[in-house]
Amino acid sequence: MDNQELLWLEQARRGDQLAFGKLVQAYQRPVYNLAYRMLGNAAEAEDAAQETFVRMYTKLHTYQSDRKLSSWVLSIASHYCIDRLRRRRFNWLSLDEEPVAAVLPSGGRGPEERALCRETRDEVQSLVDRLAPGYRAPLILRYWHDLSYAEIAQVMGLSVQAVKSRLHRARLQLADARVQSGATLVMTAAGAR
Amino acid sequence: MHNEIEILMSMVFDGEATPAEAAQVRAHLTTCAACSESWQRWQVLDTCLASAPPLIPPPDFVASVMARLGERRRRRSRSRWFGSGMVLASALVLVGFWLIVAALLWWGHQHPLEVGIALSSGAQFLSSLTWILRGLGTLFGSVDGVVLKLGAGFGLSLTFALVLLWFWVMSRSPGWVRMPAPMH
Ligand SMILES: [Zn+2]
Repeated sequence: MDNQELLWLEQARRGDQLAFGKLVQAYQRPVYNLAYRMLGNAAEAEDAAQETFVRMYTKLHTYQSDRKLSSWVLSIASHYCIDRLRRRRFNWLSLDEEPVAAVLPSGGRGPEERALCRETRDEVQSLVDRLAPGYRAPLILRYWHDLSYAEIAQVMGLSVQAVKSRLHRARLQLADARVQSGATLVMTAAGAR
Repeated sequence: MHNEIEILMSMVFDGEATPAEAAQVRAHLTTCAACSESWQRWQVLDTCLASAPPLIPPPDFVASVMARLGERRRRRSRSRWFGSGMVLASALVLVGFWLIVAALLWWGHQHPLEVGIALSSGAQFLSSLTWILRGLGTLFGSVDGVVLKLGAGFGLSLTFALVLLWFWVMSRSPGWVRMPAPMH
């Protein structure tokens, strides 16, 4: 972590609002991205990201400088989003029961690219939305935050072994969900004709 | 065997496999159709996930956070005032209650035993109220502040109501309270 951020943190701890604003500025993108990928829509993402920073502010005195600041902030965000998802009481693991809502792929992409990855941006999100919260977070931290197993483990408070196995299971589930939604897409396209 | 390879495959995609492990995966893929199919499916998935672009927070995001923080701070200081007011009022009611009891004893209107019973049941009531509030606080977590305030408000009004009722009964039928025989 750079010294500038350490300085802002010190000032924010002493009640300097402006310094805390700088920290929000510096971390708004990773936090917002994590919240968006976790919760699946912009309105909830913004609310959760704001709440993350409010929590960060109230916990400033508990931060220990041997930890990376980014890892600490992401940890607050991921725990908050997981809690929020669990309150939705949705049956996450019913991957093979209900098909993904059929959305036709939008045009504008070449056939080669479509063969590689048919999903539009929204469809990728709807795939991620089907994972249980505890599996979703490691996947998001791995793909959209470029974190290593060790870093994900630190953010989520898990062992490296647990992160490894959750990413493995997330892949299994997502690949299955893709195959199923692919079948739905083909059927919808045939029915539309 | 397939399961172990699958976990290694996942590690290769995450860039966490050693060169030896990656070689082990490659060797297995040439001989195993099932794992090879999984590999292809995961590769497409990997492309899909990696191609999803990063998202941009709304331009007024920092300002919204600071506004929310300010609102939270105002609310906290309001509730602190409310809380201390509540504590003060409860203390006054408690002191008033004791003063009334002491005055009654002084004037000899009540048998000392009855006063003792009234005092101990009052203490019992207060302590059970505390336990109920503590229980509600752990149950509802983040809203415990609200629950505590509601509970304290309820307890306070109940105490007031009981004291008023007691005065009313006293004034309506003085004979209802048994006069002790004069003590000699
Ligand atoms: Zn195999």
